[in-house]
Amino acid sequence: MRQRSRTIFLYPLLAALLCFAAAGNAFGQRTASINESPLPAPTGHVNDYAGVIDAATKSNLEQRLRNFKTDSGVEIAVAVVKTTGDRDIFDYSLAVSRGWGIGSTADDNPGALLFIAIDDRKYFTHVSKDLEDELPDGVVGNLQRRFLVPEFRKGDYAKGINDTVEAYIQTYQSHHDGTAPPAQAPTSTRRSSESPVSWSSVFCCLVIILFIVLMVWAGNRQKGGKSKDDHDRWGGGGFGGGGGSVLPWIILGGSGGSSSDSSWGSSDWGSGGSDWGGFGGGGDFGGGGAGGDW
Amino acid sequence: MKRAILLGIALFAAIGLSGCSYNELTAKQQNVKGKWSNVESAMQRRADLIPNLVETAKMSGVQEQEVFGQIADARSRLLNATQAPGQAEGGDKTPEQRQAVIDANNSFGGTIGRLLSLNESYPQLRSSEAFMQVQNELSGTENRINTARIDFNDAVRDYNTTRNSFPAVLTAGLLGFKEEPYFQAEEGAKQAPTVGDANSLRRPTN
Repeated sequence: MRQRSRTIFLYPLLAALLCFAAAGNAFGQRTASINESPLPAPTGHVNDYAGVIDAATKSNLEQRLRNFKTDSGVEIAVAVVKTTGDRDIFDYSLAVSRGWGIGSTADDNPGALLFIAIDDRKYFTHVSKDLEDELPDGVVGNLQRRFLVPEFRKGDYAKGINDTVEAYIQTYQSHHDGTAPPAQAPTSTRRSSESPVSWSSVFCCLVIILFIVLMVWAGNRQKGGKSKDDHDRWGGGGFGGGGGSVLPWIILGGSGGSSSDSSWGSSDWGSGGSDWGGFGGGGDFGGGGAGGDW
Repeated sequence: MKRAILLGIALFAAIGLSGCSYNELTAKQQNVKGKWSNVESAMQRRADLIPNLVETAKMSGVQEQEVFGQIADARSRLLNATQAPGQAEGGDKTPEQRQAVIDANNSFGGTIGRLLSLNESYPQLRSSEAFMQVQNELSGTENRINTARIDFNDAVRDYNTTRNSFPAVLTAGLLGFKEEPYFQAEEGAKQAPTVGDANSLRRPTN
């Protein structure tokens, strides 16, 4: 008899313990993803890993982009690599734009990345969700065909990059000049804040109550085998103290719908050179933009 | 006294069992829903753009009635599926309805890839900036669908893993948490006529 009453204690305890252990484990574990940058942390707006931009152009462009960011809040980054290896340039550069966290973490976080793979002779510009109104894919493609491709064919990479970025800035500014403050239509619906307190939470409570009733019933059936020893060992009231908070806990639980979006854009730079403070950490890129080859 | 102890233990177990799996499942299910809405808006965008591209191509003298016909059919299937009213709570789509949207999406097969590589078989399109721009828009949309698909599958994997692990697996069925379908890409692409490589859907165009 006493043996059986022990096991009744042990199963729920074991279950609860396992449950907490499993909860700790469930996060993390991503496959090589489009959220982590294959490149090291950026050192500024212009990152030339292939060595094709001369120092003067680079510092001018860097300054231009910093000023533009201060004026408009738009973060434009440039990355030049030799090759993306086996990976498609789209995937590779998307991972860079998200991993670097280009754009702020605010709700409205425009940003763009002009990405070039010199030896692959390919380019792609990623446009974040909040910049798609000003720089739709067709316009981005058009500007690249006009300003980037001709210069790249001549081998003047620095000028092609500089002119293209300048064209993006001008396009952005002409979009905003003379018009009222842009209607910032929320283009992404990822923050859905509806809280699903519904029949299912009620049902959940019912299940728990049923469980409790069953346990008590099981306890009653054991009454014959009751011993003082048990009582002392399990410290009466120790667990019961938590009981009062069960219902609020469960009701609150229904609104725990936070998304895992914050997993990207953890910015661990900033200790680096000069006054470069890193990108905003937004990285809100959904695949918009255009690219091609030359 | 014994009854009080048992009650305490039962409550403790109840917190553990229902608490963490229920809350966690709800959070992850919300994430899946959020990612799904990105998938649908990208598909909607595709459906909006296709007539533009087809018109521009026709104006430039492209004769591909068969492809255009297939695209029109697939487009109306897609619109029917995405615009069907959601049957889950709060007007959301059930996993079955999501599967229907995914199937409709896949019924485009290789036709989109065909559209995106038209400029290879019709060189005159290269000089049409109007066509090139719409083509950029459409290939941007394909990229968006793909990105949204990967993000959605990540969210689904996270949710399904939790749902099918102990202890959630004990209660998930009772609490109405269904397993979510993955977005499997483009089964139909195999039979469709293709120009260029199999990856032409993804290739940035110029």
